[in-house]
Amino acid sequence: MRLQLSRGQVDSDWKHEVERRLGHKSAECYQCGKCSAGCPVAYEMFHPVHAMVRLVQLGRMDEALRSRSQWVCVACETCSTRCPKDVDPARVMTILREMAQEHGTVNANEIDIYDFHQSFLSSVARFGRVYELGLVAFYKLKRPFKRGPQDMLTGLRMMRRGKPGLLPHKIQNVAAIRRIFERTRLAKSSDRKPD
Amino acid sequence: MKLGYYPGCALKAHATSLEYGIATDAALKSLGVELSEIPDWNCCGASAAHMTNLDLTRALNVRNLAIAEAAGYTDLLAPCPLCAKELCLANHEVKEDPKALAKAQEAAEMVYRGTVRPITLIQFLYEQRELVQRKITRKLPGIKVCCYYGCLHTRPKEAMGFDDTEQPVTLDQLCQILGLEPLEWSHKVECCGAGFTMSRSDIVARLTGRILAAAQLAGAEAIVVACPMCHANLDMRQGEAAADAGLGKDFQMPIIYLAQALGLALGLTPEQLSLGTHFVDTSAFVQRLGGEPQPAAAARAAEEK
Repeated sequence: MRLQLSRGQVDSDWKHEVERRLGHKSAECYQCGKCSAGCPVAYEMFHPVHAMVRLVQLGRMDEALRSRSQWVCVACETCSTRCPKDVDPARVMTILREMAQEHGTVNANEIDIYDFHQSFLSSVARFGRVYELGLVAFYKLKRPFKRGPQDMLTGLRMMRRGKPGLLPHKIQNVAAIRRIFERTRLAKSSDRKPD
Repeated sequence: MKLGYYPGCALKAHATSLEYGIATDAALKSLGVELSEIPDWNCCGASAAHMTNLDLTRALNVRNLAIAEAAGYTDLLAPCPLCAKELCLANHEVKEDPKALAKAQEAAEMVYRGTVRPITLIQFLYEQRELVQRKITRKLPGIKVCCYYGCLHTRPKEAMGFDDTEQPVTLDQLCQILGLEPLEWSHKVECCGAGFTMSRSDIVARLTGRILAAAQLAGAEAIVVACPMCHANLDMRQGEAAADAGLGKDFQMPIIYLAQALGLALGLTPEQLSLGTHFVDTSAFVQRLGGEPQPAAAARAAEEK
């Protein structure tokens, strides 16, 4: 990766915040690239996982937080398992996902992935468990024209097999789950707007 | 033997992976294990919480761990490795970091002392392999299978602490005990795309296509899995996966749960193990085992083809 640096582009406060959440210095990484070599979705990334760690090392906040890479990451932990320096690149990706939400810079190209996570979580917040049919409806209705026709056939074939069930399973103490969601809500840290 | 049980959303009632729940219940019952579901458990947050908010996923899982602890269980069986991984990771993190524990306890309004050990079905059966060997009523004929562990059975290694992260062998050994013939192959721990099944089904098709092609190359007649996400992705998207891999025809590779194979070796029928609700027709596999195929399921599969 070729980067041109100037002093104004380096955000060391941000870099230190990533390192604080990570629990160690990003300089631990010596850019061997083993993480990206084993990453099953590296083919989808402009900045594969070692390059994302590099962006942290260089304090390039904007590029890192606006990237698609952390959203197409499948969290399979292959990179962290193979890292010879225990940098835990999978955790770096998770931290970048959290921060992109806090800064309002979730990559617009991967809004499907983000919406699906949010639909999933709103189902958990509401029932304490996942209600698959509700989750699918909620996700599709956010963009009905684009998402509506997708997987129709798969859905029909599932229904013939009695999947998924029609009714939600609600736990008794849903209030406790709702309070967990409130107490762990991410702080919106700035007035940045998404692209 | 009584065992704390965290079924998770995928296995519960009529979710997508209802086969896994049905087969696990039936197989463990005939093994003599009593599954005792912990009360009022909540979703582990799966990939959505883990992907977007670490404090949330930790608090959700500490609540479940605290419930299991209060109910008096040490071992907590979580047959879905995604649930097991989230439980193990939360367990590991709160033991290492008192601040994380305090925060999670406060959010979950529960006290957790760290006495629970969440385990996957592979781990449980592997630890009980002598019991399995004693209890099985027949050896399955030596069908060639590829054992697919998926990414999360052994990772992250400091949290799961079980088997090898690159070349795991426990599922292969269990299949061997059941009489199956596990093959050497390349994609034991490659990711199937897990939670992207709706939002980025193209990624799932690409990744499962690689796995299915590798299994085919190894000469497998079926793939054995122990994860509802792996099963859903491998079983439901074989057409798209074949198209993505540039193959003319569908893989038609039966994807069998470990719990189903175990149940068959314990003498249960294919109906009791819900082998008829798969997308890919399993009747050839069942017939090779000497069982009666399910005509309704086979007809449905033929019609959809």
